Order: sequence, then structure tokens, then C-alpha cells
Amino acid sequence: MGVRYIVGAMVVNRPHGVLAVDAIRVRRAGWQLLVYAVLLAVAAVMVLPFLWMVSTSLKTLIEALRFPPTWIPEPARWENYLAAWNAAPFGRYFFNSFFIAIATTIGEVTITALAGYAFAKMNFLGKNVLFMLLLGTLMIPGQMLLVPNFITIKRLGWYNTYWALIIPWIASVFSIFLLRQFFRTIPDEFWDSARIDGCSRLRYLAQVVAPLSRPALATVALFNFVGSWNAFLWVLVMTDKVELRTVPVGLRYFMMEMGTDYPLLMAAATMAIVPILILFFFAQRQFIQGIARTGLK
Amino acid sequence: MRKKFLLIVLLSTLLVGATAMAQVTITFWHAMGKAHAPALEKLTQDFMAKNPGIKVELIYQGGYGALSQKLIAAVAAGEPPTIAQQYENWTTQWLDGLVDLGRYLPPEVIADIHPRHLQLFEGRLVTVPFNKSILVLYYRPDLVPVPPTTWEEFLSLACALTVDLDGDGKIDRWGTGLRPPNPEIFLAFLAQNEGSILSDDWTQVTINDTKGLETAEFVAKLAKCALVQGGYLSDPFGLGQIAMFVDTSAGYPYNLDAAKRGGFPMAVAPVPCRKTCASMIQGTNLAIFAMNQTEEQIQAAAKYIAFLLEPENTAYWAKETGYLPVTISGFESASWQAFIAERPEQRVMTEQFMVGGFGQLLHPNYWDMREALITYYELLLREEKAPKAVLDELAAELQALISK
Amino acid sequence: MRIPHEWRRRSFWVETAQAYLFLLPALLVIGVFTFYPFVNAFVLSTQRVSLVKMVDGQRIPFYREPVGMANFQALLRDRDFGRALVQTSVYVGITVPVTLILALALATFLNKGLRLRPFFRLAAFLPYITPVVAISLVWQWIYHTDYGLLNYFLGFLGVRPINWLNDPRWTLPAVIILNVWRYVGYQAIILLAGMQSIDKEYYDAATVDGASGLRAWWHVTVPLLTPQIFFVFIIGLIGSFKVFEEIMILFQGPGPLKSGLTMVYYIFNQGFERFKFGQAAAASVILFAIIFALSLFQLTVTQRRVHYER
Repeated sequence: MGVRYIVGAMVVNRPHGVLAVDAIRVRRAGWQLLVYAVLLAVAAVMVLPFLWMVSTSLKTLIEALRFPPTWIPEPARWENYLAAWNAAPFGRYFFNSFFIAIATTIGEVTITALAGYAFAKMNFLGKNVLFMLLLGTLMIPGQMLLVPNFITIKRLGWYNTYWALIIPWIASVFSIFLLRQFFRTIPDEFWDSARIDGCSRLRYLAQVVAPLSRPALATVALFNFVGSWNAFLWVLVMTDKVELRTVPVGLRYFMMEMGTDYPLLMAAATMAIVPILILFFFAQRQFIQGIARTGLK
Repeated sequence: MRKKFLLIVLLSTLLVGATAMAQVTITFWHAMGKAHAPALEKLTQDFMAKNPGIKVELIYQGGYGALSQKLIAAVAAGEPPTIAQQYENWTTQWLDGLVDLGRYLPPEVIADIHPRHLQLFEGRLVTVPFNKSILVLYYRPDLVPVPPTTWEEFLSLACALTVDLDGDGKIDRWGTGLRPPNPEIFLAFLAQNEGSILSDDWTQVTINDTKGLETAEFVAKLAKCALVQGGYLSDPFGLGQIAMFVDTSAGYPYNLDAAKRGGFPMAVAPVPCRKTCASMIQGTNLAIFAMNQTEEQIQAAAKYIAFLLEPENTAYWAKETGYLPVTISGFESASWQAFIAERPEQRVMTEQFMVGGFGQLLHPNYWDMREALITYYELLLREEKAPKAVLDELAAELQALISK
Repeated sequence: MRIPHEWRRRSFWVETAQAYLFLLPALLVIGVFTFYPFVNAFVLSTQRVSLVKMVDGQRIPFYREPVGMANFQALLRDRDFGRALVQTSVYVGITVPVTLILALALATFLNKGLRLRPFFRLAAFLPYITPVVAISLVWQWIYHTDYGLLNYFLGFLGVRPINWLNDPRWTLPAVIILNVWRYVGYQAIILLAGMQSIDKEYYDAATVDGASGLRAWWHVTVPLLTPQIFFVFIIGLIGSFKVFEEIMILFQGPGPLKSGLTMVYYIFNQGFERFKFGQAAAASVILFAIIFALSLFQLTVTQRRVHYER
């Protein structure tokens, strides 16, 4: 109620002289302060586990088990990172994760843009049925598909190859859905005039739609990259070679090896997060725009 | 210079020759982590040096959970590895896919397997013991000067050691620890009381008879003076939260490490006894898959397994890893005898095995039975139900499983 | 039966052919790796599977034999399945609304606090983009009874140490806290994006009508945000039903007294830990039916209530 009064007072009850305006200004400043206080508190809750992770990663095991806990490690043991890096072939894990994430992202953006365009701008037989069918697959628990998929992968001869980690992940329904939403906001007049100029649909998609849809494509790319970077169970089941392990799978093996050596585990976990963090930092503007225009309509 | 050149030529010719001979490749999926893998790698290297025509590919699959999942998927796809580590209840699931080792291993090798380790599935030998351990009692000599030898001593000591050290109304140290996912400890106590899960002919459930009830009541009392938690007990042990606990001999290096971190001594004693001093054998076996393998691969795998069972090799394996030797000649070998003469802990483990080691029930439905055991064991430990009720309900479920 | 008007046009068929060409790669991948195994799971739910069976001297891997409805009957008898159903419902019933309400509040605040927004956005998004394995690992450490951060902070409030990972009563709360933390920022950012795309004119109109502040929020922001709220809700709902990996890593099992056994955990346990693929498939068919029914219900209810900007 209090908040409502304050907020309401700002605009509605204006005609009360200079004194009231001053009061309003103070209230507005107070409101801003409250907003920042709440946001800071939320940000703290969000970030604290990560700070805790980084802090623990720089401690000795004895210091990590000290209670009450210390925040600033004394001294900071940066060598934990070196030890973690050397304890397992993390270089290889990172290479694999990057390679797979980039390959799936390129494939995914291309393939889902084609499909999304068809659903958004083309009129064809079975469109609605097909679209509902695809949306329905979003509700399927992935674990349900693991065993049959494993057999398929084996039959295709893709077991223990990069194919198994890339091809099944280059066409997500969620991405098709997002792109369809975005493409639908592009006026049809563009296509009409392009067609008159003798432009094919494919060229139109590549040269007009795609540049206009950069935020949506960035969103799809980022979602895909994050998903690929974080994939765990699939990689675990579809490969058994150390050379094909990705960062999360490597991390899980590392966990089993290290047991309760929390500082080294946290150092490895920190290393696993950094690339994705950097990526998000640079892509976030495009990403937010993309999200803004793809809400369900 | 010239000599060196010639030498290189000679060596590479030899190498090329050797690779050309290495025609048979067999794969071996295992779950031996960094504490145990080096010994396995060394034995495998030795084997390949002796048998240049065979190449053994060791593939580490992570923990047992990951290994079982990988094996399920691989067997389902019809492409299992040549050899894999496996628990008894996994073996029963793919029994039809395994090689009858009786046909491939020399009779003297089979006869040498220690009888307490020997397991037959539907009358056939399809697995040989590999990384086998036994339940023993780990304790802190600074808190427990004389380890308990009977149930009564164990119980009273455990309760005496359960204390609130800093007076905040919360117990900081328990006399012992019990893990719900590990009902094997209950089974060991049950065997000590001469009870059993099933009658010998597998037609009747006997777990809820008087012997079973005595055991359950004892464990329920023990649980009141025990830290009950799912994770490995080496962690709370290292933090000084438990004074003694029953664990497999394979946990020795981890428990010792934990004690060192906590800055206190650790010692090993036999599990406290009742009517007998039975103790359960744990760990996995090796089997050869018949699916997707050539006859040459199967023979090579059998050769490799026979090599691992040689007295010096099983003794070496046990010395390096903390597991037990698996053959009679391995136990009797000079190197093992010399080893346990020096190491009292390992001697205790060997003696525990010789006195009362027994293995898992080989019923085809034991997997499901064990799941039921875990469920009810947890109810017992967490005092959710009275011992009698726990056993009666468990017995009803087991009865349904054996009559399937 | 009347033939639709457009079928008579040749251009319609040309476009149909073209569209399917565009869809071909996506349909191929989704068909092989989603549709086919999905249908397979339905068939599997009426079969019993032996990993390998000797038939006439031949070893047949993944041998299936029909058993009718036996797998579904076994589910009905299995107390663990009932437990998984109830616990998943409780988890979803709490997590989804709590996350959504917090996300809506957070988005509203983010919409006000204009400076430092990129920083807040990054902070809010951090948990979502981090691998579950790493997250669960960190939280396992945060939830530690004696050395964990959470009990340390609760200690300041006079709360006695909670046995987060070893007390059945606290299992679901622990998972709920973790996942609310993990998804609230992601949902807030989607909602925020929606808020920012609301035309200023609506607020001006509201002001003219004498509504502002919280009233404007309730009467303008929320109704115009329904597409995004709906989207976030449905994605959250579907995602919550699939909760599994974090539990497995956090508790190294289904939790004390199976208090963390969820539907997907049950499916995983039956299939990959107990070799009962038929029963696992039956359970996943039921899970799918539940999600499907709820989504459909959601769709029909919101169909009438979603406000469109255009």
C-alpha cells in the first residue's frame, strides 16, 4: 500500500504547491534508492555463489573447510588452477566444446532459419499440423529418447565421432519457433517488391530477411551455444573416448577423480564457465533485442 | 653416426614387424580411477609385452554408475566391449550375452580361484573375480583403544562415543556411521546371526525370521548412535564426526587419507561378531562378451584374464590397490605373505576374508531385491518404521519378486 | 468434403514443394532423432525388453516381446512411481509460480533502475548460462551442513544449521531454491524485454485516465505482457517437469528416503539403472501425457486472456 501511495502521488496528486513538489522529489529519490537497493540485493544473491566458487578455488583445502568461512583467501593459491588444468586434459575438453558448439551453432542457425522462414512466410499444405507437431516435441523428456537414439547413432556408425555430437543438435524446435515469431514481424511488402525484381526466396532470405533479423539469429545462436556448451548426458552416452569429452563431461569425471578436493573442483568449475561468460557479455545487446521481438503472439 | 642409423633402421623394422603381428585387439571397459588404474595399466603392459600378437585397449568409463550405463547401451546395441568389469546383478541382466569361461580358461586356472570368490550363474562360470574387497571395521585408536569384538561391545562403545562436544545441544561426533545405499553391512550382520535373505532353495523368504529380527533390532539400536547419511563415510570420518565404521577394504586409501587430513590415527579390525564372524565380499568381476567378437578376440581375452589370475599378478594387483588376491595361489604367494607380514591392516583384511567372506546372492532378480533392501534399510536406519514392520513389509515384497 | 479453395491454384503446390525443401534438413534431423525415438518409446511401453536373449542359438540384443498393458499396471503398483508423481507435482507447483512472480518483480525493478542495467542483466543471467554440472557442484558445497555458505548466513538470523542434503524434509526445498535461483534471472530478462517493447502511449493514456504507478502496472503492463508471461510460464512448466540432473549430482542419488525422486529420475532409474526399459517407457508416456494435457489446458485458458498488442 505504501509503495502504491508514493508512486501514485508522483503524478496524480500534483496541484498542492511547492512544498508538495519537494516532497515528491524526495519520494522519487527514495523510490530510486529502493529500486537500486533491491537490484543490488538480487544481484548479490545471483553472484554470491560464483564469488564463493572463485574464492574457494583459490584456497587450500584446510582453509576451505574453515568455519566461519573466509572470503579472501590468504594467500590466494593461483596454482590451484594450474593443478586443475594439468590434472586432466582440459585443453582437449575446451577444444572439443568450442568445436562442437561452433559447428552446431552454424548448422542450427542455417537450418532453423530456413524452417522458420517457411513457417512464417510461406503457405503450404499441412503447415499448421506440422507446426503443432513440432511444438509438441518440446514436451518430450529427452531421457525418453536416449536408448533408441543410442541405437540409431550406433547404426549410423557415428558412435565415438563428432557427428554424434553435432548432427542431432543442429535443428531445435525452439529455435524454429523463435525465428518464426521474429520473421513474422517483417512486412510482406518487402517480399512482394523483391519478387518483382526476380529475387528467389532463398536469396531474399539470405540478403533481406537475415540482415533484418540479426538480433533473433544472435539469440538462437547464443541459446544453441549455451545449450551445446552445457550438454552432459548425451555426450556421456554417445562417446567413450577421452579425446571426445567436452567440458561438462570432463568436469564430471574430474569430480569423481578428485572426490572432496573442493578447491581444485571449484577451480575447474570456474574455468568451465569463463568462455560462456565472455560470449554472453559481448552478445547480450543483440540477444535482448532478439528476445524482445519474439514473445509469443 | 652410421651405427646409430643402422640401429634405428633395425629398431623400426622390429617395431613395424611387431605392429603387423598385433592383429587381435580387445577392449576392456573398466571403472578403475586414478588410485587403481596404474596397476592395471602396468599389468596390461606386461601382458602385451609377453603376447605381442594381442593389443588390449583399456577404456576408463568413470565410476560404476557411468560404466553400467555405458554397458547397458552397448549391449542393447549389440556392440559390447570384449571384457568388462561388472557386479553380479549386472551380469544376470546380460547372462545370455556372455562367454562360458569354463570352455576357455584352463581347468587349473579355474580350480585356483579361491572358493569364497567362486560364483556360478545358472551353474555356469561366466565371470572371474577381479577387484574384490571385504567389509572390515575402521576405527580411531585415540578414541577406541580396544576395538569391539561383539555386537554388544560395538553398540555400547558406539553410544558412549556419541557426544555433543561443544554443548550446543547438537551431536558433533557419532560412535559410528551407516549408509542407507549400502545394505551389505546389514547382510553381513544377518549372516553373522546365521540368518539369510532366502532359504537355500530360493523358495522362501527368511529375512523376517527370529534371526533377521534380532539383526534388525541390533542395527536399529546402532543407528541411534550413528551418523546416517548417503555419501561415503570417509568425508565425515576425516572431519572427526565418526569414531569407527564398517566399510570395504577398498576404501582403505581414502579412509587413511581422510584420517591424515583430520590429523588423527586410524586402524583396522575385523567386523564385530555374533554367532559367526561373517563379512561380505564386495567389488566386481570380469566377463567376456560373446556378442560382436571374433573367436580370436575371445581367446585373446581369455588369455588376458588367465594372465591377471596368475599368482604374482593377482598379488601385485592386491598390493598396489588394496583389493584382495583372488586365487588360492595368490593368497599363498611369497610376495603376498611378505606383504601382509609387514602390514597389519592388510593382514586383518585377509584374515577377515578367510574366516567369513561371502558373496552376493546370485538370484536372477537380485537387482530388484537389493533395491527393496535399500528402501527398507533406509526406513530402518532413519527410524521411520519399527524393525518388525520393516522386515515384514520387505519380506512381502521379496516374496513377490522370487515368485515372478 | 469440399476441396479447399487454394488447392486449385498451381502456385499453392509450387509453394508447398518449395516450403518442404526449406524444411527438409530440419525435418530430417528432428524426424530421426526426435519423432522416430518418440514413437519407438510408445511401442516400447507395451513391451518387455531383455538386453540380450538367446533365441535358437542366436544372441539377439535388445530383445522385445509384447506384454500389453503390463508395464502400466506395474507402474500403478509401484509406490516409487506414486512418490515420483507426487514429488514432481509439489516441485512444479511451487517452483513455477514462485519463479514467475519473482521474475516479474525483478523485471519491474530492472525496468526502473536504468543505470547499470547491463551489469544487473549479466548477474541475473549468470546462473542460467552455467553448466548444471558446475552449478550443482557449487551448491553441494553451499548446502554443506557444517561448512556451507547458506547455513552460515542463516546463522546470522538465528536459524540452527539445516541438514539440507541429508534430511528428507529439506530435499525438495533445496532443489526448489537452486532452480528458482537458476531460472529467475532468465525469465526476468524475457519479461523485461517484453516490458520495454510496450509502447509509451499506453502509459500516457493510462495517466490521462488517472491510473499510474502500481495501478498502471497492473492494468497496462501485466495485460500487455501476457504473451511473454505465457511463454515464460509454459517453458518453465515443461522444464520443471524434467528436473533430474541437479538432483542426481546434488544428492548422488534420489535423496534421503527417495525424497528427491522425480518423474524423470524414476525414468532414468528404471531404464538406465534397473534395465526395465518397458516400464521406463511407460512412465515417460505418462509424463508426456501430463505435460501435454497441462499445456493444452494452459493454451485454452490463456487463449481467451492473452492481450495482443496489435
